Amino acid sequence: MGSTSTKIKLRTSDQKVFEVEKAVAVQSQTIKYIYENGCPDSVIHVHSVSGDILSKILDYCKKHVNSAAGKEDISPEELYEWDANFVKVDQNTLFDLILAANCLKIESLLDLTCQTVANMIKGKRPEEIRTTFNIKNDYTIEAEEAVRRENKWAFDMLGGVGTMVIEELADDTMSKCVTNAKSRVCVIAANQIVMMRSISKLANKKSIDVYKQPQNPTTPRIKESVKQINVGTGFIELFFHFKCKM
Amino acid sequence: MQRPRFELPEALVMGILSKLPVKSLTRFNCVCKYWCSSFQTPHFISNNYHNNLENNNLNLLLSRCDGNTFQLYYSQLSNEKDQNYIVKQNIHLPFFKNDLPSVYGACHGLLCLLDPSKDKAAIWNPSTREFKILPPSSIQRPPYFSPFEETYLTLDDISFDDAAFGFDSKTDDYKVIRFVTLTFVNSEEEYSHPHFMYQVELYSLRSNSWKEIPSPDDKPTETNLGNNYVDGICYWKTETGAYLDFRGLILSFDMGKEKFSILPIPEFVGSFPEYYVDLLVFNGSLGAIVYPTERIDTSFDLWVTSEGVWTKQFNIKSISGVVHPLGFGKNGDLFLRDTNDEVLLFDASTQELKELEINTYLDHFRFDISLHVYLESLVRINGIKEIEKHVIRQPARDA
Repeated sequence: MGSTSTKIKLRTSDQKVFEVEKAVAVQSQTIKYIYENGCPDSVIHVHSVSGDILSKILDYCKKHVNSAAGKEDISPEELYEWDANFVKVDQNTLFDLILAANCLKIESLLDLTCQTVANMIKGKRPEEIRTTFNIKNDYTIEAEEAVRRENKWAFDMLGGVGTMVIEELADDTMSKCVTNAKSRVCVIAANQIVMMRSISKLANKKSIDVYKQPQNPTTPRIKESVKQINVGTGFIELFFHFKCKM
Repeated sequence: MQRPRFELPEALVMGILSKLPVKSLTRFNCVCKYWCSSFQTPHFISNNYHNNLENNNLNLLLSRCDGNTFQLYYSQLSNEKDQNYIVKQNIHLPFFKNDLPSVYGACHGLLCLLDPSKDKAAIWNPSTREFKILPPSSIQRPPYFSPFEETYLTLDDISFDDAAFGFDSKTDDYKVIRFVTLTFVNSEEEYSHPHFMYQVELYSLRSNSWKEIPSPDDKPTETNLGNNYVDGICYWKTETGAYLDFRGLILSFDMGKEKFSILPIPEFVGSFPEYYVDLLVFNGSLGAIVYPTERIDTSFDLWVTSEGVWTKQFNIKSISGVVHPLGFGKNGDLFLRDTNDEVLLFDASTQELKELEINTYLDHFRFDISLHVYLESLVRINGIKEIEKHVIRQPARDA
């Protein structure tokens, strides 16, 4: 049955034109506003969105409109899964979608894409986060060290860090670490569960060697020196020397 | 992760970050100074809390007593449903010495811990690991003159048996209300008949001090099941024998107006002695789990009240061997204690009763187990970071 549903024309930044059903297009509050306050027949310019991105966004809007209107037989769980697959794209596309969803004011899509990025970054280390968002680190080495110490509990259970036992070193040992090779001093807390087992195993030893599993190779680092430390009782912290290859 | 082709505008980056768990945000404090200061703004804290509320990012604490050491502590349960609520870590509170405090809240992810026998209290954000010790109340205890014995009596004991913790949105302040019972005896006599007096104290976080407020006629008579604060008002069960029929009533306290009121519990909801009516907060409203006192197969009704109207939300039919409810976890899952003092879970989605792998069979005082629930939150309380003297966390040994 042919229905006389209203269509809206959209022109993207790269001059592609899309003709979409009104119900789908007005999922965007921006388009809705322009449509209702302008000439209904004219083409709406979506300057900041490219054809590829708009095409994806319209897929999303169509799926959600159809599901809400009952035009498509899809359960909430299936829609949730469809959404999860929709955001399985590369990082640049994801950022493009976020910008576009924000500019077009499609709240549910903005929520979905932002939550996706949040899930991707939640387990990362601060260095990786700076890369992702292109952020300059404006802390001095000492200041960053202080912030890390204050929040050290949040640094445990990070993937890729090896089995190690850590101890709080005296302040003069720490300053030796900082001045020795002009490199970054990173405080790394081991997987706490592993740490508990290590302490009980090493209770009788005077000093230990530290073994480290290889880290994520995207930021290659060379281990410069490892201090031999004495195993005490309780929790221990170890400071490493790293030369960061940028 | 790669370097992006372009940078997202700051507002969008903050929008993404506000969806992160508190632990990630704590770690990202060292990304740059701007992020660190942004995470402390009321706007960011509120957005983050709102996201946690929407996603129901609940954490669960189960109070327990160690079978060997008789130490009281909390087990933090995993909030991943597919992990079957296993114990993630155990939390001890040496600040309260060898007793577990009474727990009130949560309010905006904050818990209030009160020692029932000493003037010792703290407000705690377990997500950010901030711990604020409250000052002792400097409120004068009144003298008690016994006309019969014609002498002033001696203040023998002070106890803090009931309280609540909540938020006053008008003044943007967190408050603690505490009922004080003063026990007086005649120190001259060997077997003295105790006399009681009551006071009510109110603490404000903004002023970091206690003040006395007029005591209501009816005092709380029972401990609540879990949280007793919602939407600006605190609630307790109370009774009145005024008409020789012990009616169940609810005493309420408005945190903003600082006023007490009484609400009746309708007969059709349930009345003692046939039923227990356990007050708690359910889905943002005051509710009660109602269940019969004497029966082998217990069925549970959940009632919710709003503006005086009570509606039954749902009923869980005949679960045999179950004694008491402990409270709700995520998604309407109900924690229960059975006749063997084991902790069970009634799964709301499958309508099935499940045993949990918490291994409470080695515990002592399993009849006294209680459940406390709080949302992840960044709310700041002018406290200090957790130190071993106050809070000790130990990851669960079996992992």
